[in-house]
Amino acid sequence: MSNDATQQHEEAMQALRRLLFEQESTRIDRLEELLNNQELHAQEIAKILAEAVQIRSRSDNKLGQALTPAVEEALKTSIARNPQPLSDALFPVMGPAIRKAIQSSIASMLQSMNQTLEHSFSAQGLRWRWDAIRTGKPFAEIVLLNTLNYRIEQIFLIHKETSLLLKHIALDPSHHEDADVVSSMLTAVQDFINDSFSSSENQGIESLRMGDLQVLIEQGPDVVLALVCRGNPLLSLRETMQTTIEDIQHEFHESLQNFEGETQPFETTDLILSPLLVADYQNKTKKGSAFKPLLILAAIMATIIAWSAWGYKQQAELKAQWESYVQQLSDEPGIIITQFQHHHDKYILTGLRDPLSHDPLDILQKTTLPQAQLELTLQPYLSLEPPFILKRATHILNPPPSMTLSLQGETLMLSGQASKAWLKQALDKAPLIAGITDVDTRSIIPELSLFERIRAVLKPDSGIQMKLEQDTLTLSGKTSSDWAKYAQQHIQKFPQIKQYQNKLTLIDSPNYVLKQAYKALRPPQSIRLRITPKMKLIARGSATDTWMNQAKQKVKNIAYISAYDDQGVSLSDDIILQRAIKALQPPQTVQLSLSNQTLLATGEAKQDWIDIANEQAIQLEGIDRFDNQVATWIDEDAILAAAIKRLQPPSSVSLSFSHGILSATGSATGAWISQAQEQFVLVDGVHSFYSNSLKNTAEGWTDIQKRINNINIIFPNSIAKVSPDIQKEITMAAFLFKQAQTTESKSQLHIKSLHSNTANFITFLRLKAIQKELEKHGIASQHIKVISYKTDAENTSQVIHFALEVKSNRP
Amino acid sequence: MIQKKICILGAAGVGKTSLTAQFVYSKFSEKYLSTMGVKIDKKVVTVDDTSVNLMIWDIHGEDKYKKITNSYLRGSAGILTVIDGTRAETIQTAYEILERVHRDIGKIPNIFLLNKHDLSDAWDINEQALAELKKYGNPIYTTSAKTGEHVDSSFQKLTKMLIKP
Ligand SMILES: Nc1nc2c(ncn2[C@@H]2O[C@H](COP(=O)(O)OP(=O)(O)OP(=O)(O)O)[C@@H](O)[C@H]2O)c(=O)[nH]1
Ligand SMILES: [Mg+2]
Repeated sequence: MSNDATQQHEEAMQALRRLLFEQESTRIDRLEELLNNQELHAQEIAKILAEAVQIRSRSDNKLGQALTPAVEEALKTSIARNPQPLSDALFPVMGPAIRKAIQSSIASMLQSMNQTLEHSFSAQGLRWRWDAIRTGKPFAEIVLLNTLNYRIEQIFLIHKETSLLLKHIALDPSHHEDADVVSSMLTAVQDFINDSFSSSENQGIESLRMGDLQVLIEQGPDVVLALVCRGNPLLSLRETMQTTIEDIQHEFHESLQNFEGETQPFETTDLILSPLLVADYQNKTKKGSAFKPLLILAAIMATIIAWSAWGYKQQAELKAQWESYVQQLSDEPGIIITQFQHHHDKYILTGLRDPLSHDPLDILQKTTLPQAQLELTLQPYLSLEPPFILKRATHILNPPPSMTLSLQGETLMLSGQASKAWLKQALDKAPLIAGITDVDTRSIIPELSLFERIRAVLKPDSGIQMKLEQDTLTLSGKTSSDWAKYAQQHIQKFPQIKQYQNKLTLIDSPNYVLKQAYKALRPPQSIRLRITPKMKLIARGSATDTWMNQAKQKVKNIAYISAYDDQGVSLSDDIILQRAIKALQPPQTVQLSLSNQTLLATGEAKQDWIDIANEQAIQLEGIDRFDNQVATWIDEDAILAAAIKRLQPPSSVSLSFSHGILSATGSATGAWISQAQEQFVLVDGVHSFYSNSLKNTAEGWTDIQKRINNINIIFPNSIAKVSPDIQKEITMAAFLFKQAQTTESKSQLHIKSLHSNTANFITFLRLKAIQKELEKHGIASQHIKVISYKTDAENTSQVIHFALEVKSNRP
Repeated sequence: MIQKKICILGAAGVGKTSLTAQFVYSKFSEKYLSTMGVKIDKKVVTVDDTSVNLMIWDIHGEDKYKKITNSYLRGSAGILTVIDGTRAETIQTAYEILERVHRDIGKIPNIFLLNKHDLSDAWDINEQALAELKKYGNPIYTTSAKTGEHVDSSFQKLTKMLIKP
């Protein structure tokens, strides 16, 4: 029963469960399936994976770290299987990056490689030679045309202060034309840029570029050097420019300091400057032919292709490289590799190493292999290879530089110079060194005597005497203070020397140099020479200028003199000059000077002083010639007087004169003003006439009338021709009449003639001639009226006179 | 040959460029092209058998926005100070410039040019202003870049002052 009963019970329970938990039970079954079935699992995770990754990435970067190995592995596998998809995907990124890298490496390689390639391409050179022969052009030019990298076409040496051109050198002489303007303009541009960007004065522009042309500028204290250059110059050119400037500053120091615009002294700078032009032609203007860059480009392309291939074969190659490294180590004396293992990215090396051998890590550094992958376990040992025995011996015995060690079998050979002390310890220690059984000392030269050693250290000139007595060293002779100092210092290194007697004559000491100066310059008694600690020679006193000039020259040949100052030397000529001044009594505006017995007078003075000086100067003692350049004193009063005389101003005008300008104020007639404007140039010393503040007053009509009425014309007997004299009178009449017309347009000109009964016809001709003349002056006939008077007098000279009248409406 | 740098100074539009053009090229134009910065010309002038290569720096006119900078004046041996005769106020600018030259460069030879003298109708400089100008003790020339009046002679005179101070 029990079995049956349990069975029944169980069934009943199940029925009950089903009744009670039917729904829950199916749900649990579903959950169970969900938990156990992997596939369903994945489906569920897939639903939320994207969101989960997003949420996690927002909070930290663990996910990235966790994925890295997997992604790396994935990439590796992908490349191993088929690199194409990945390389396609990466191409848009890698392409530009690679191009950029290539461009910059080509650029930097071109320059360095060109020069090396240059000389090896001699076939090219031969072809150019052939071209030169064929075209008849100089070889240099052919090379230049083919290889022009850059060349200096013009050199400007510019005075900094004034921007004036001191010297110009150009390849093409036609460039000389405006070099001076270019020079000024260059400076102006510099000034402009400095002002505009308010950079400091000394920081001038260094180059200007325009297309293929470049102007390189370097500044010195007094000069600016500018090179016009075609192409790209080497950087070292800058240095050359600087040293050139230094040379010029040094050599032309005086001319630069005293520069007043005279460029003649700088003619010789071309000696210093032209090397800039020439040197660049020959050494630096080279560039490979067009196909050389191609060659290099090809080489680089090949490298790149190899590099991508290497990417795929990386693994294998890396291993090969490690193997070659191990081989290298094995070949290295003093290193024995016993085992080489590759384990999980690690390369493990085991073996022996002599401490004196090359460091394996140093050797590794010369390869591209990463040190992190290397694990070295090398036990120290003593190698008995000869180089190591020798190394070890050198290490232990520490021989002086004068000694040479070598090995013959197991015998250590010593040669050279050595002290006894060293030799003793060497002999003691050598046999204890591994690999050495014997020492050979036959080639050892006994050490030099103390005297010789001192001599070897001091290296005295032939002019120096050295004496060693007991422990006292004596040096004598002529030498520089530098050497004396050197000697003093080095003698101290010999403890055997207890006393040092210095009897050296220092040729660069002020005293010695001063003595030399006296010898060389032979100054007269009136001159005293002095020398400063900085070796500046100073002359004081008085002397002839011949001596002064000679001294200036000679001083340059005296060694160690840094500068020469003879400003304190007065010319003995002074005395002569003083006497001249006393005798001639020049006015303050005159300067007298004396040189080569010529008395020079400059400035301004009155004419009488000039005359007297001309007479007296030559009679003075010590004066052979009188160069009188004194300009005549401008006597403004006299010029004014001359102007008044010439221009005859009416009383309403006042004239004044100063600084070459004649000014008129007041009022005057237009006629006078225009006459004065024409004539002022005739007055010596007047260069401008200033009449703008002069009032122009028209002459009254009646004044003109009076003047016209005063004009008479007298014809000689029986002549009707108009002579120049008559012409002048008619012109005046016409001029006045026109003026009258401007104030009164209805003015009439009357021509009155007196004549006798008998001369009617000739009178008629005369009047006609006069009328014609007036018409020439633009006076129309309707303004002219002819009036004749008869006289009874016989043979009256024929007189015609003019009168002025106004018709009708003039009151 | 001796070279000398000279500067032409003055207010804007007084005729500095025109005077230079008249002197160097014997040309005149009514067009007004204001100079920016500096324009450099040269001409060889001979005085008393000495030839001097004049480097003529025609500098931009001075106004209250753009002062003449010292660097252009540096190294100048002499100056021409130009005044526009038809604008009396340009005298004041001339004074200011000259004071600055004296302060920064020193007393170098100077000549005053009263320019545009051909425009006598518009002349704006009275006796009193002229008297004031004379006090400087520098030569004064009336000039015209248009007719050429005293252009050569004033440059000639300055050159003479440079080599025979
Ligand atoms: N009538 C007349 N006009 C002149 C004279 N000089 C100059 N001009 C005119 O004045 C104007 C200005 O002349 P510029 O020579 O350019 O003056 P600038 O002083 O150089 O002027 P900036 O360069 O601006 O300082 C131009 O229109 C010239 O034609 C002159 O003597 N007479
Ligand atoms: Mg201008």
